[in-house]
Amino acid sequence: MAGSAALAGTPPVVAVSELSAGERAMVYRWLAGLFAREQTVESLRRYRSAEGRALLDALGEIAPLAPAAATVWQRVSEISEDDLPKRALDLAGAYARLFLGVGGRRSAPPYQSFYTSPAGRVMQAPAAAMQGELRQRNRRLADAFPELPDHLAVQLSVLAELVETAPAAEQAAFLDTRLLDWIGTFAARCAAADGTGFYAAAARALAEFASADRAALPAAFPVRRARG
Amino acid sequence: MTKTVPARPAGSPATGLTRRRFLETTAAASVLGAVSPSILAPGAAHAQASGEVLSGCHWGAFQATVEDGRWTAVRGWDQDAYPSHQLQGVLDSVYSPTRIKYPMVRRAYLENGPGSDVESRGMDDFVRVTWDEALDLVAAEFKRMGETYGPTGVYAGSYGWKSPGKLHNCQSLLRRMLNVSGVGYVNSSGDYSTGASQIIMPHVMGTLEVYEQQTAWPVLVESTDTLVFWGADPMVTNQIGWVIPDHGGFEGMQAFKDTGKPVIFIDPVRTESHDFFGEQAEWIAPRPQSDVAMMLGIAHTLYTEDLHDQQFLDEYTFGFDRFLPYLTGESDGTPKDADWAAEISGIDAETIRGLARRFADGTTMLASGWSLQRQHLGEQRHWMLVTLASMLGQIGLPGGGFGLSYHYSNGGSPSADGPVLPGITDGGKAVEGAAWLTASGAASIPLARLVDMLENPGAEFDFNGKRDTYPDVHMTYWVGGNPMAHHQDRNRMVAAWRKFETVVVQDFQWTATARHADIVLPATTSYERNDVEQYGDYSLKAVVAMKKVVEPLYEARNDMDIFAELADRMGAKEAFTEGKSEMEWLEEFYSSAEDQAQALGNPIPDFDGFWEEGYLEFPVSEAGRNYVRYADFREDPLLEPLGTPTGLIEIYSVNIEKMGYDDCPPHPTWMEPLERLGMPNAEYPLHVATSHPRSRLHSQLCGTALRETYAVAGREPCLIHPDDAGARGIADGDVVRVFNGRGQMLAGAVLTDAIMPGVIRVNEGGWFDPVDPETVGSLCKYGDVNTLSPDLGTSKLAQGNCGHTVLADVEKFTGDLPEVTVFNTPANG
Repeated sequence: MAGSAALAGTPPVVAVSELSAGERAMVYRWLAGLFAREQTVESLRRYRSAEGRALLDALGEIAPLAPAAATVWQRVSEISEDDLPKRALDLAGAYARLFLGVGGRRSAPPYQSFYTSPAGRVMQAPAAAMQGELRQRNRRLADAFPELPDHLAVQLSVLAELVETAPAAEQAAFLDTRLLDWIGTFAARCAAADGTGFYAAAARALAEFASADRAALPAAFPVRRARG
Repeated sequence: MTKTVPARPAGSPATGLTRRRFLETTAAASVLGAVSPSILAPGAAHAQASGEVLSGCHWGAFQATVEDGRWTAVRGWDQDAYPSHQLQGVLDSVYSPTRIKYPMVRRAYLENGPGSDVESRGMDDFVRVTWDEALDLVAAEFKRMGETYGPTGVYAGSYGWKSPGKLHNCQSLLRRMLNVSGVGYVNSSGDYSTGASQIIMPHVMGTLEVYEQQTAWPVLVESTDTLVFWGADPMVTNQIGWVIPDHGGFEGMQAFKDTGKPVIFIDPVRTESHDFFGEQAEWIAPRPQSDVAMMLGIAHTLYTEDLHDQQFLDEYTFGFDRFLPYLTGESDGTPKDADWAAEISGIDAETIRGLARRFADGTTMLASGWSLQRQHLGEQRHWMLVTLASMLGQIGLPGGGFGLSYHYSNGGSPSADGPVLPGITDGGKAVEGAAWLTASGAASIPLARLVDMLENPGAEFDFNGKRDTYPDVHMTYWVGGNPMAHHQDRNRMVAAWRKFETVVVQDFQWTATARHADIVLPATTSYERNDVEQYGDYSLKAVVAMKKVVEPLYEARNDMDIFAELADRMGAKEAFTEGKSEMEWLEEFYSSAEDQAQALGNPIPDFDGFWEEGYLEFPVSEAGRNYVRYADFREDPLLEPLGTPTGLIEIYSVNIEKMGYDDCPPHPTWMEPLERLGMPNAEYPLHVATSHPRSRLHSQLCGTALRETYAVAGREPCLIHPDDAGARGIADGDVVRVFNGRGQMLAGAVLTDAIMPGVIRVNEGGWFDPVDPETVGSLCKYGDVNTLSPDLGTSKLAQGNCGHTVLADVEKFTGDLPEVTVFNTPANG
C-alpha cells in the first residue's frame, strides 16, 4: 500500500495558531465524532477511502493531531477489507470499557461532571450548564444520541459552532470552563486503560490540540479555572 | 483482500498547506459527516421539571429535589423521623458511571453464538448493539431452548432485592412474559434471608413467622423487663424494607431505651445496636454457631431449677415430653446442662445459668435475627429458640415470648387499618391448558441449590419431605438480583455458571453478575418510572405514589416495556400488557384499595386526588398499638389453633420424624455443623462473621460513594480483634488476605475490641472482583466474602444457604497490590 508522508511520520508542518476558524471547527467536529460513538464498519471503510485518507492526511499535518491521525490510518489500513468487521468489534470493545461503564475503575467516563464533582457522579453542575448552553444556542441533543449534555462529544460539537460564530473571548471561556479542566485527566485515564491505543491517541490529540488552540487565542482573556 | 488506496488528492506534498486546505472543502465535510454520528439537532429542548418529588425505595420514602430535569438533592420524607443515611447512595446510584447505558452483548457470544468461550465471561469485551438486535437474540434463544431442551431449558428463578413498586416488579414481569408467551422455565422457591426458618417454622408454629407482624413496640416498652437480641443488629438492618420502610423500629427502640430497661445482645460483635442502648446494653459473645447448645444449657437450667412453665407446655405445646429425655441426657447419656453448653459456646456455665434465671424472672422477649439460621443445620436455631420461649411460658403475653422480625423491615411498628394494594401478577392463569406448565413454572428448585442444579442435572434432591430431580437448564435470565454477590462459594459458582449457554442480565448497573453475562439489557431505575407502594412493611401506614423523579437516562427502558417487546416477538404482547399503560395499571391497583376502604367504611380519595397529593396515610389503630402476637391462641388454643398438625407449638414434629432426615431430627438438637470455631479438628482458626452491612442493602449501593465512608485501603473492611491481629503482624489499615480451602479475598484490616477473639467480620455484599476471571479460585481484589463461604443446604429439610458457616485464616498481604477494578471511582479517587 502506498504510504503517506504525514501519516508515515514526516514532521507535521502546521502549527495550531496558523489554522483558520473553519479548520479548527473541522478538527473539533472530527474529535467529537471519535468520542461520540463506536466506529462502525462503514466509518472504518470511509477512513480507508481516498477522501478519508485525504482527511487524515490533512489532520496529520497539524502538530498535536499527527499521532492520532496516524493511529486511525494504521488501524484501518493495516488490515484487509474482510477484517473490518473484526476491527470494528475490537474498537467497540475498547469503547465500551472506556466510556460505557464496562471497565469499572479502569475507564474514562466522557462526562465533565464525573471529573469535577467530588463523588464522581454524572449529571452535576456542568451538565446543567451545558443544558443552558444548548438551549441558548437553540440546539438540543439529536434523538439518536441519548447521552448526557456534558458528554465530551456534545461539548466539542458546541465548541465547533462557537469557533465559527462566536468571538474569541467566548471560545476561550468555553475551553476554560468546559474542557481544559478535565480533558487532561480524561486523556491520562484513556492512556492507562485503553488496550488498543486508539482512544488513548485520540484523547491525547484532543488534550494537546485544545491546549494549543487556547494558547493561540488572544491572551486578553486570562485562563479561568471556573467550574460549574 | 486489500482494497487499493488511491494516491493523495491533488496538491503538492511538499507544501502541506494545500493538503491541509482540504479540511475546508466540501469533500472533507462530506467524509467527516460519514464517519461521525449526529450529535446536535436544531431547536432548543423544552425546560424540564423542577421542584420536589415524593417517591420511595427500599431505604425509605424521600423528597427528591429536581432542577431542570436533574435530580440534585435527596432528603427523608417529613413523616419519617429516622431516615437512612443511605439515601445519598441512592442518588449516587442513579448518576453513577457504572450505569448500564445501552444493550450490550459479550463479544464472543455476538461473533460465535450461544455457549461461545464461556470461560472468558467476566473478562471478554462487551459490544453495544441496538435494542432490536438484543431482543431478537433473546427471543431466538427462548425458541431454541424450547426446541432443544424442552420446557426446563430456561432458569428464570431470578431472585434478589428488586426495587419496590406494585407494577414494576421485574421478577413477576419476567415470569409473566414467559408464562403468557408459552416459554417453559424453571422457577425457584424461598429466599436467601430466611431459607431455613421459613421452612421449619410452619412445622413448629404453623406460619412463616419471619415475615409477620411482631408484638408491637409500645407493648414491649410497657411490659418487657428484659429484651434480648440474639444475633441481630436492628439499628443497621431496619434501615431497609422490602417495600418502603417506615422506620418504626427506630421509634420503638428509642422508646425502649428511654425506659432504661436492660437489653442483652448475644453476638460475636459488639454492634451498633448495642452501642445505641449505651449502659443498658450487655454484650455476651458465644462462639458463632454454638447457639443451640447455649439455648439448651439455658433450657436445662430452667428445667432443673424448676423455673419452666409446665402448665404452658402442657396446654400450648406438643412433644415436650419427647424432647425432655434429650435435654436431661436420659436418651443419649449427655445432659445438656450449663457446663456442657459452656464447653461448646465458650460462655461460662454460671453466665448461662444466670441468663436462665433472668429470663424466667420477669417478662422476657427473645428477639432473634436470621444470621442464626443462615448456617449449616440452621433449622435447629429458631426451633430451639421457640422451645426456650415455650419453657418460659410467655408466648402470647404482652411483652414476652419470641420474635423473628424485630430486626427486619421494622417489625413491631404498630399497624394501621389501611387497605392492601394488589400488584402485577405473573400471568400464570393465562397458560391454563398447557399441561406441562404450571403457573409457577415447569419445575422449581429451592433457590440456594442453584449451583447443585447446574452441577448435577438429573440428580435427586430432598426438600421438605419431597424428593425431586434437578432439571437440566441451559439459559438464565436474571432480573432484580446479583447472584454473583448473594450466592455462596463463589468459585464453585463461577465454574458452574459456565454451563449456561446464554446468560441474560437486565439491570441498571454493571454488577458482577452483569459482567458475567452474555446479553446485558439496561433497565430504568425505579426513579425513572411511576409506581405505587405500601409504606411500612408491617404497619401499612400509608400508600406512597412512587413518582418518576427524572426521565430515563441513555437507552434504559422499563422492565415492563422490555418484556412487552419480548412478548411481542413471541406473539403475546396483548396478553402481557392487557392493553394497559403504566398509569392505567396503577389506577387499577388503586381502585382495589378504594373498594377495600369503602368496605371498611373509610372512603379514600379517588386516584387523581391521591396521585396529586402523592401519598395517603392511615392512622395507627388502637388494636395495632396494643397488638400481642399469639394473644388469640393463648386466649383460646382450641378456637384459635395454630396451623400445625396438632394445632399446638410443636417441640416435637411427627411430620419431620416421618421424613427421616439424618440432618434434621424431630426435635431441636445440637449437632456439629460442617465447620465451627472451636470444634475438634477445625481446619482454619478463625470464624468469619458475614453480617449485613451498615451502608449497603446486601450488594446494592456498593458501587456508590457510600463505599468511601467504610472502605479500608479501597477494600471491604475486615474487623479483627487486636490479639488475633497482633499474632499475625497485622496493623490497623493493612491490606489482608482472608483465605480458606474454598477461596481467597483481600480486605482492609480494622483492629477493634468490638469483635471477640477468634472471629473476624467481613460484611456480605462486597462486589466480586477477581484478579483473573478466567481462573477459578482467583483472588478477589475487593472483598466478596462469599468467595469463602460453603455452598450446601442447611439440611435436607429446608435446603437454605449457609452463608454464616465460614472458617478461614487471615494474613497480612505482602504481594503486589492489585488495583480494585469493579467500581468506577472519582477521577482523583
